[in-house]
Amino acid sequence: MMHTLRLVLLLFILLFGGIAHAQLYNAPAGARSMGLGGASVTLTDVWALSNNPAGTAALKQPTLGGFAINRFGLQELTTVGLLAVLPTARWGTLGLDLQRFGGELYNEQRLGLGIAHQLGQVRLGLKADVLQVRVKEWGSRKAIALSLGGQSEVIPGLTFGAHIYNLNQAKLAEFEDERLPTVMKMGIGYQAATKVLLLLEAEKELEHPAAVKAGVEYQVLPALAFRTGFHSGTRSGTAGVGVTFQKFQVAYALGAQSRLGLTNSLSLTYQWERQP
Amino acid sequence: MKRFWLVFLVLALKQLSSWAQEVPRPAVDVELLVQELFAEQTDENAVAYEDLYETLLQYYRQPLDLNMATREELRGLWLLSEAQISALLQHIADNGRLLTLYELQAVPTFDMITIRRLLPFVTVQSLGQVGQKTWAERLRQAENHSLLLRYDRTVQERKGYTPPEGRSLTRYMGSPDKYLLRYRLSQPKDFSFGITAEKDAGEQFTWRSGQRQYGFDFYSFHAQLYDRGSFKTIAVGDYQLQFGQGLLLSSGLGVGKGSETITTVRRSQLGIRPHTSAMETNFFRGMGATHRWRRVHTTLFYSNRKVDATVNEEVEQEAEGLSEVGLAGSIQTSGLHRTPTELENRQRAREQVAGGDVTYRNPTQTLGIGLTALVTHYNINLQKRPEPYNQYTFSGRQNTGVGVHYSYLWQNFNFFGETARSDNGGVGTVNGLLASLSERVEMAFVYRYYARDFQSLYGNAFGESSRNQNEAGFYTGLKLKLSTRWQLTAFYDRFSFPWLRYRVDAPSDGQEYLLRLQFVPSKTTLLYVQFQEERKARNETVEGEALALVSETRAQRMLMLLDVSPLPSLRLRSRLQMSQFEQSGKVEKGYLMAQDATWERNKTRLSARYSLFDTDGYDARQYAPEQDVLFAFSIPVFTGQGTHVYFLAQQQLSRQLDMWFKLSHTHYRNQDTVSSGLEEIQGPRRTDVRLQIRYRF
Repeated sequence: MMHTLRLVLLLFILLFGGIAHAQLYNAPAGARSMGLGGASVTLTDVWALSNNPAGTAALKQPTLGGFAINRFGLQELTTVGLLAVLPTARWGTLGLDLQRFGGELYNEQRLGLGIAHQLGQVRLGLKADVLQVRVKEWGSRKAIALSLGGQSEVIPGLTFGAHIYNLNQAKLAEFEDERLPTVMKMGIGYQAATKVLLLLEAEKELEHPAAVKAGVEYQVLPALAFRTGFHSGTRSGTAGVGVTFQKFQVAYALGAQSRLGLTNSLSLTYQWERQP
Repeated sequence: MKRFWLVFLVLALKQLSSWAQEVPRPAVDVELLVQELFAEQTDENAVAYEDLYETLLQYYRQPLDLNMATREELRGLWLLSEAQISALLQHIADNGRLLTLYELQAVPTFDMITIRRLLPFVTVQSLGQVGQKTWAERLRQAENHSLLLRYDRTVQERKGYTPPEGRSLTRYMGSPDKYLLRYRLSQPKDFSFGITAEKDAGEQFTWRSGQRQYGFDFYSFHAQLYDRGSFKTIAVGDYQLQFGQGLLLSSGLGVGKGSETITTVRRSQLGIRPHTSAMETNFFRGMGATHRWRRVHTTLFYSNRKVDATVNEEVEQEAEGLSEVGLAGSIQTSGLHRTPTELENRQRAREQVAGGDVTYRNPTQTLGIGLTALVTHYNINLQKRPEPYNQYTFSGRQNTGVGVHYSYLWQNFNFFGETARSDNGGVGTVNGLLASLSERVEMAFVYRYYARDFQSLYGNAFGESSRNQNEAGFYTGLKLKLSTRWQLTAFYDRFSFPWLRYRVDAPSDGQEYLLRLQFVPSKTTLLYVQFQEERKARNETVEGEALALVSETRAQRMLMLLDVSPLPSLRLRSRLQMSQFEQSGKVEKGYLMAQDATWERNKTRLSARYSLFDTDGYDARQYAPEQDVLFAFSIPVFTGQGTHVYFLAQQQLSRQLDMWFKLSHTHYRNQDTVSSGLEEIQGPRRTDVRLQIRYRF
């Protein structure tokens, strides 16, 4: 009974709002971006591989990141992911993205490969994701989504970013012409002070209303950052904290959605060598 | 031998001068220009806009020589304030001719933003040796001598090209290919010759002299000479006319309300200009000449051409006791002859126009006063559909218009206006003031009153409606240079329509305003935010009511644009558009997001765009100007949900040969067909291909 209820709720959420679309929808990866309301199109961290692959071109060291997001306390609405970024002299920055969402009855998996380049003040990134959706007893479907991203410094301190996810409009099923969501994001990041980063972003999923996301990151100490933000599409507010400990960065974020409850996210990053 | 040295010297000088003015002339960014000059394209008359772009483009492609330019010509660029024009003319008067475009930096009031905007459209020429060369030499050395070929096609099959079946058996008679051929030989301020031939999609490529079809569907030819003795211009063939504020004669060049809120509200008197585009209406065919005698310019013209018309039926007319049989009909302006009906209406009526203009200007060019008059005659009796809103529209065979116009510059205040009267006694007047209050503040005011029965067939003066009839209004514009980096432009316009209009079954009024904040943080970056709101009345059909109810509509539009060039070879442009349309509580919303990238290197230029759009309906439709092949433009309109992508490549194959290729693709969601009627495509996709070649002799 409980299982059926959960499945019904899950389907309800999947159909309405695009809140828990997880991989299919390319939800923000990492607790940092979640803490910032999901406004991550201008950020340059390991999570950029999923949020805007152009951002990985700014990484100078090989980086590994793992994260988990649990939505509304439901085990079936959990995403886990492992991302790796490797800067190379010859090929630009390469990235590998593995994510899984869902439970036993319904789940989505992703295998993504990204490449990014820095050209002067511009960063460009390209990514291909193989997505698999599996519904128990119904079978599974695969699709390939191509994404393109760019970041550019407009004036010192002001960065602009744009990202198109699934630009090929990959088809998932003939029935009702079901396609993977095509999402376009544009945003700016403004380093208002050395400790303060302001982010503003517009996101448009082709078949859903546009959303505005905004976030603030306050770097209290070199090793400690506080974050907060909101997302008008999911109608949620978020807050988070990040701690840097030698080669490790730990981040935690909490999101509140007035009708559905709380979302928790935890992520851990390991960087091979700290930047000077 | 002496002659050889002279030629050598001339050539060497020419070489030198081209080195001396080595300011890199950036390509004309039509997309940005259109965005700058026009805030919206939402009038009933979409065709007029299309024509306008073409004319504008032609106009801008011929760079203006600053050393020879008159005040009127500088005004016509729409890029300089009155104070800047005065400063430039003063600078040339004091210091002699400009030697290079770099010298513009020394002209007072010229800032970097202005110079950058101006560069693509102006040039500084070495001293003209026009009189010293023979015709053969001048023709051979003409600046512009080119042949251009363009091909267009929609990849998907449209209903008009399928075998006739179903309820409607009407189909297009020709192929879905569109061809354009254009030959031009011209030298600014000396001569211009050109031929244009076009076949639209769906039209036939056939030779039937009985039907007056000779291969292409449309031909245009012009020959014009400038500065021949006391004649300023002599024109044969197709030409356009612009006098005064365009109340009686204005073909093509009238911009109106846009985000450039000051300079575009005034029309400049450009006189006779060649008709070079492929638009099939709104031009004159015949002869015209402008004569110069002291400070008086006299223009006379005569035009006689066949126009498209629907001829309804033969109507009996009682005239002086005699029964006269005449034809009644109305003029068609689409220029398309694809179906048997369209072909039947082709060139069915004859239009004759004769008229002229006399303008006096004082030696300092600060005062201009003129008189314009014209007579139009049709060989059929024009009759609009008997709808109440057509009550005062022109009908009959003949119409005359007489008007006076003026322009006066006092310090930095430019007063201008025109008043005209049509045959039936209808009066129209438009009067304005452009004021440069300081280097940082400019204002514009325009008052217009066009009586409901004012009938001007070629008029296109400032106004809300596409025709100068049945309108009164007051416009206020403001441009504020907040700092070298920030600029604010705004306008507010209030208007009323004393009689009914198309889709408005009652007298109505409305208002419109626009605000635009522009930020130019560096030489390579431009960012602006623009908001616009318009309130206007429109019919609303209520179920169960026989009469349409007239209620107010409110349209709001927002635009954000970021243009960055992080590398010299790369240009990125992002665009975010939102709109909302409301009538009686029903709201439609529209949204568009687009990312462009342009990469340029040596002889290659590649551009691409990816955009998403999502609109609730036609009233919230989105217009997004995009790049196109040279001399073409496109402002596609989007309704529904979907993605739009285009790819444009330009390659210089040799010194003479250039090639363009454009592929655009729109993919709609949740719909099985695209477009309607004979243009309908089965399936959710539309792909267009365009190929163009230009050979420069």
